[in-house]
Amino acid sequence: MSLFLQSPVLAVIIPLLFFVVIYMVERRSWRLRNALAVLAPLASFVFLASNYSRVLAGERVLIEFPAILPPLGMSFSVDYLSLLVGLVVSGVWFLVAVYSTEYMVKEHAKNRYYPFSTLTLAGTMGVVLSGDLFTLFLFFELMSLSAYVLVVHEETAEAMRAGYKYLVLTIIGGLALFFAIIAVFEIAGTVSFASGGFIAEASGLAVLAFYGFLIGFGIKAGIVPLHVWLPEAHPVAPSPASALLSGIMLKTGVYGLIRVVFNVFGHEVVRAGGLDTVLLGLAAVTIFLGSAVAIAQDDIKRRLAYSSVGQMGYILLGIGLLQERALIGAIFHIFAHAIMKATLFLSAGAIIYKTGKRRVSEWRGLGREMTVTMVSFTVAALSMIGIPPLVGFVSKWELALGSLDAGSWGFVILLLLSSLMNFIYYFPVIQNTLFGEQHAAKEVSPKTRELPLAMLAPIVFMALVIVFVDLFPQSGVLDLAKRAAQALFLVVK
Amino acid sequence: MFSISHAPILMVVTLLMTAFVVPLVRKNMRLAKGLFLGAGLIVVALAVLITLEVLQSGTMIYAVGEWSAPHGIELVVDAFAAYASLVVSVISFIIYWFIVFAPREVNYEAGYYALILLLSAAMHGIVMAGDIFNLFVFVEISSLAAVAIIAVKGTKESIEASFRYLMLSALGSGGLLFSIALLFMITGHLNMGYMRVALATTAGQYPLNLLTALAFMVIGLGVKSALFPLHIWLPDAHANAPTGSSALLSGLVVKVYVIAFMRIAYMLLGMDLFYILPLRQILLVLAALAIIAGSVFAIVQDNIKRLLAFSTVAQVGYIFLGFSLLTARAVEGAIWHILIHAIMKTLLFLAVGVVIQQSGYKKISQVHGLARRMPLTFACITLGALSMVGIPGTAGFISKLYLALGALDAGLVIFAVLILISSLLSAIYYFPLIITAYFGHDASPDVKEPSLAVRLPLVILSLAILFYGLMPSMLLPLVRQTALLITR
Repeated sequence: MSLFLQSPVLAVIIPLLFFVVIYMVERRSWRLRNALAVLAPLASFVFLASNYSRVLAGERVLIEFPAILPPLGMSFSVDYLSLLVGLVVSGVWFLVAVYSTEYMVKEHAKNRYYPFSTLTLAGTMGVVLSGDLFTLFLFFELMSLSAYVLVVHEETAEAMRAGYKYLVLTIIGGLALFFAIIAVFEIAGTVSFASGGFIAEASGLAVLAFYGFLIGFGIKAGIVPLHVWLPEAHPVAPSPASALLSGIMLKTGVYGLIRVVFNVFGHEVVRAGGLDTVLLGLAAVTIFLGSAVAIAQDDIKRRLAYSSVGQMGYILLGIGLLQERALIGAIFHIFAHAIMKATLFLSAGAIIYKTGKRRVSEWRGLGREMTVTMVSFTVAALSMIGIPPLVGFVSKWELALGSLDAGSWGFVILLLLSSLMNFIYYFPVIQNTLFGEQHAAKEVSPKTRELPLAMLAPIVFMALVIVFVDLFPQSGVLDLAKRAAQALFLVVK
Repeated sequence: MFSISHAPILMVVTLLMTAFVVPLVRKNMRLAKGLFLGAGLIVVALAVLITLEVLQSGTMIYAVGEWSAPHGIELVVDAFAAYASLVVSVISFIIYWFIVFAPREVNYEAGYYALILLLSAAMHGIVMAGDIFNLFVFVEISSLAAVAIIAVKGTKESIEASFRYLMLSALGSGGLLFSIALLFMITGHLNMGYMRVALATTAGQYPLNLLTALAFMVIGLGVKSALFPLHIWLPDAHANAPTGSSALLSGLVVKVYVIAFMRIAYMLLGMDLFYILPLRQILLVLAALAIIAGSVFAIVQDNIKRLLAFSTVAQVGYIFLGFSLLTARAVEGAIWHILIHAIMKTLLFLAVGVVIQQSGYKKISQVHGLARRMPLTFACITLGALSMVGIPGTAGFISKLYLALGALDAGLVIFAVLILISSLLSAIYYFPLIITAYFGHDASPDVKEPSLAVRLPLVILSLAILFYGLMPSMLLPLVRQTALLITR
């Protein structure tokens, strides 16, 4: 039993338990329900953070349950990468949960939203903290299926349609993963992550497995052309859920790819099989199309969703270059994009919450009414464009340097081009809202100008993180990303 | 007095005797129900005893009436038989419980109980028979009882469906009998052990007879186990039967015939048979077609019970697929699937039966928002459906895992892909039911959950799905031993 009480396992199990508890208490007390929904990610964060010193000392915390599901078994592990991503997941989740306690007041079916949001957290933490492919898969499916409930929350015809598309693609992705995992098991007889990977050569079945992983994780990460569900599913969800879907859940797709490339196949096998070219090609298309299509969207949440597609392309690029510096950029971007996109979705959500306006063209002059919100939005948007010293700059910098190291200067141009496109679709929003003519003013009553504290605080906090993380390198995020990338390139044979 | 060696025959005898007695005490329904459930419970206990005995000291051979083979009748309880009777006894006890406590669907309840007991007795007989003619007798009993428990509902559709089932099933019996006759001609024996010895020398002399015999055997048992394209009777029969009968038929009866087929195959000829004749290819193709066709037909159904019935056609395809892939893991997967599909399909049929009884809605398009009125029942349906799709953490994942690994072991990647495609198709036909029930406008408020006693079997089956999904190790030794019987 004591195995279950170790902190990485607790970080996964506590949200799972809270799901049940919330379900039981929610009819009696909505206060307790909200408190538990906020407490669950906090508990995960704390339990995971308690491994900080052990991991930083270079240890890989590993807890195995071979008795569950033979012949595969389950295991949990914490290394640099899962520590960083896990802290980002639970940290951002906590902030979003705080925000949602206020935002969701106006929504229906709150008794469904909170438990399922907590269940999705359990799935996401499980993905990040799993020590082998099978455990990852188990929690990946848990996360994907419970997130369906968040996607269709509004229950409008549009949401149900988007949700169905999401569901079908999730199942397809899950099956692709299933196939890939059993193929790996067939080849190697194990599915546990190992540094340097454990697939010996890029045989036919191995390549097939790789494409299985690419489809499975690619669908989740919204890699073009597997992104079709994303621009529909993310905007229809309530704003906190959109922030979680776009800011956090997409990352599990790229996280899975990192694990597959470095801990299952090993970067040498990937390179030998010519699979990195596939990754790079997809990355280029994803970056370009995601950013280009975002420009054409007037609905702010759709614009943000397409922007996420483009940003996932950055991370894929960082993986596909198979180059340490680029990988640092990719890993750091997991953190950076989570924070930026969550800020953007939460502040956009706040505006929709106050004014009911989803169209960017209707936001004229809103900045004068909701200054703090809009300034936070602006900070995040500038960071997306890549203005130094904001976090978005750092990942782009590392990615660009990595591309140069790999001798692919074409990608540097692509990154610049994408920044330009980011500028094109974010800047008008900023200009309109902050400096535009104030014809929207009368629709915001003077008393409720700014947001309630529970909504404002997470937004502001994240905006501050965006500004200050790079100014204070001792915060350790970049350091952790570096160590993670180094560890992934380490080959133990 | 009591010796464990008598346990196999006691299972059959207990059920047969109770089947006799129950209609006699029909004036006192409480007693009849008590006897019905008691018999079920005794058989579960006996099955557990037998299983432990087989695991401990290997195959039990019981000569009925102490008349020894080749003239007497033998029951051969090997690991497969023990496993099968364990599955049959436990699942049917759960169904008995449901039938006793759910609102009645048939007029002559005591008669219904008697038929079900007869059916169970025959199923236990089939899986343990060591004598091929005896096996045929049990097959006949079970076929007739199965037809009767459909017709017992008394509606026009159910009588029509059961009549069609009777006709096709009789054809199947004819085929089986003919096949047995041919085999008897070749070998001069009916006891399968002796037949095996005789066949070793005579098989080469009568290749044509053997081929014909096997062809009729495949057709005979194929009709009964609804192997595509011989499944045409199944959707009507399973969809129009009373709830308990549907669960029993879909969950257990079709699979018992698959078990019978496999037992005849390995007891008579060993699995070389699959290679000597093109049987393996034929069964693989038929299984693949069953999986695809069953799923595709299921997608277009609006009637929930018909949907479940077509899904059974596909799932039987999985079991045949696993057996005919013939690699250790594929066979283990098929053996798992016998149990796991029994759990899932029983759960789904019972839960859907509850929904129909409580609300009167039979179609997917009618169940809008019903999950809010019947949260527990729909939670169980959701779990069953997720397991059918093969989501990890549920039992359905285990059998898919083993089957797919087995397909890769055999070097047939295409069948692993087939399993995946079929999972996707299951998702496409199961999810609309769940989505419609959970979302969509509210159902009429007077629909309520059934009584606690009716909900209990649903909860137990759901827990079993989760349990076997994460901790399949408990039954693993038995499954392994069974697979060894087949693949050795």
